[in-house]
Amino acid sequence: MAGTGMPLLDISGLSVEFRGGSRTARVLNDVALTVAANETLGIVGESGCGKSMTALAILRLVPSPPGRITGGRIVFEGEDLLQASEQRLRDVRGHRIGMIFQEPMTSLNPVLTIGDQLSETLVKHLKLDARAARGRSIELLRAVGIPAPERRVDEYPHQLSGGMRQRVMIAMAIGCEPQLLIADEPTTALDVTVQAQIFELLRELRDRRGMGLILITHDMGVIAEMTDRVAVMYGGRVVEEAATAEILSAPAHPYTRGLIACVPDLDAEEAPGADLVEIAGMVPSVWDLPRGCPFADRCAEAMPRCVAEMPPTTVMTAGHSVACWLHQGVPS
Amino acid sequence: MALILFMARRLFYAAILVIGVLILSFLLIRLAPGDPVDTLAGQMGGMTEEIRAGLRSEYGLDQPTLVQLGIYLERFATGNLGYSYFFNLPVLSLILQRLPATLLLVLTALVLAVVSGTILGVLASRRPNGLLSQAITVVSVIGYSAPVFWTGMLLIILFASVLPILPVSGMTAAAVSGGWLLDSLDVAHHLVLPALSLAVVYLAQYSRLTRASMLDVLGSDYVRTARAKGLEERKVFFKHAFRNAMLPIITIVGLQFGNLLAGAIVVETVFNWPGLGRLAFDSVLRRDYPTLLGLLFFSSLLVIVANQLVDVCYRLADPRIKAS
Ligand SMILES: Nc1ncnc2c1ncn2[C@@H]1O[C@H](COP(=O)(O)OP(=O)(O)O)[C@@H](O)[C@H]1O
Ligand code: SF4
Ligand SMILES: [Mg+2]
Repeated sequence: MAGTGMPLLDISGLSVEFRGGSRTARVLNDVALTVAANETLGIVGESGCGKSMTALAILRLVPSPPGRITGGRIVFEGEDLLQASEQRLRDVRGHRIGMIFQEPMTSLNPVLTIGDQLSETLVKHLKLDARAARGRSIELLRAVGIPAPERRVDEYPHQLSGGMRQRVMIAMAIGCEPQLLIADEPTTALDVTVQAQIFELLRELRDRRGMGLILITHDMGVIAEMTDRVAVMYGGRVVEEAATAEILSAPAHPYTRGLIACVPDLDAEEAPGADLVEIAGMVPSVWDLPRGCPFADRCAEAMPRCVAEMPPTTVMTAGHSVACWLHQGVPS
Repeated sequence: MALILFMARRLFYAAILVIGVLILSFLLIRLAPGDPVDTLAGQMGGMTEEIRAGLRSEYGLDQPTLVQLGIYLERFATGNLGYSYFFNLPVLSLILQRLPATLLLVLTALVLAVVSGTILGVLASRRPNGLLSQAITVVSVIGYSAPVFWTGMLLIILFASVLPILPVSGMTAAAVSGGWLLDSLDVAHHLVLPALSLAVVYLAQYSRLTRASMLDVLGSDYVRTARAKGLEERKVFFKHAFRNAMLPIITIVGLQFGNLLAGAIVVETVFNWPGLGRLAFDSVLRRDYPTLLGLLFFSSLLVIVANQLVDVCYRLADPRIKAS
């Protein structure tokens, strides 16, 4: 299943900065990622590592000001989105790339009906008329498992539970059959049974439609269940990337090892959703990133060199790269 | 249906409120120094004590205050607001005759303030640090601190002497009467300055509020969702952001309607606009109790009606609010 041939999405050198007064925060630093069609890439890391910002940057939705994409390429279907015009970008957003946000409770407009919010994407991208869009909205609601969609379509977001709202968001994101779906912690705010249902739904949609999927989570259990490949993020950087099976069996970066150690018994076939137990210490503030390895102050294996110099990303074996001084000079 | 029930209940409470306002105003007016008969006597260049006593008993002023209140309320219940001491006319017809002028002034000012305030606020929110944003901040600070009469006087000075293109007094030019079209144009011409002085404070406030509200909403998750769908910025602005941003404005308009009405009294006096405000001002000077009470009754009625309308608007604009 893992990607072969030209990737659907190829991100390289992506950097994002935030300005606050005279200070600058490097929220993303030289991020590189690829996603192939029909592949699920997981992005994992603790809160504040830059996962959401990466997702927003792909659609050029980084809040600006204070944020700014300062460099890199985001090549989607052969086209660099960072060079695209606003108009071209609007054709990609919601059409070729769908996005599901972390906050189901606030991501729908409270004064517009579900049907209205679903239809407008269909009208804009698929050029459906109002009637056809309404019919298709009902179908989409049914496809994401919302009961009585004929009635729900005319309701407002506040009349739906959090799980139902997230389903609406998913329906909205897949409405135009995108090539790539980005799901940013789609179940964070939801209870465990609903979480399992949402993941089941995402898996089914991916398999049926052959989309590329980027699944952002802070949960290694979800990674194990759902993804083909994983990028581990820390301090605005991708610190390790490999096939999921390889990451789980042979994690190279101390941070990745920490994340895995936190999950109680990954082999047991339990429902995803077991939360991370803390790795001692805290994620560094983006306003105050160290010069060397961002993980140094929490790393049990840190060496003097780690504090002084940023470890470069090296390829360990084909498809497995890591940014850590422990693995410098390992032949590829 | 629920909405109708809700409004019925609101109206019931409103009625109780109005009666309360009436009783309180009645007592307050009696507490004020001065007496209508003395005032009348003063204007007529003196009266004998006999005539004064006769007038007092005719007006019922020789009775104890509470008895007077009882009589007033009893008449009020039958729709009789009494007679004006000064005009010798039924208070009701006096008020109805002047109500349109006030409504015209207040509604024009309100529409002017809300429409231009929101337009300016929305434009400013597109560039939160732009020139328009800064201008709005400055103007609204001045607007907050400038009393209505001061703005009015300034406009009068400007248009009476410096730039005499707008009339500064009255509602019609005596000479004109050339059919309804010319007459309306004439009234509109006279309306410009009073409406402007009444509106300017609110215009400043609403533009600032709209700007802040728009900026708040533009940073919300659902606006981000709208952008992520690939909608044009125009749609994001007006369909997704604007309606949400208007909710606090609707609330404020409702809360401030009373102030607007109070402002109208000042403006009508400054510009000699023949409405209820002018009448209220004169009635206070004349100690014309029945007229004054009638006016207080009508203004509370206006405020209540306005609040009901605002409430309905709010309910239409925000589906989260259930009629219950
Ligand atoms: N609007 C903002 N202003 C300032 N800093 C921000 C803003 N949004 C996010 N950040 C910072 O950017 C970093 C990355 O955030 P984010 O991508 O949301 O993390 P994640 O999704 O991995 O939890 C965090 O340290 C966060 O504090
Ligand atoms: S570079 Fe050094 S501090 Fe950073 S993870 Fe590797 S060993 Fe730890
Ligand atoms: Mg996030």
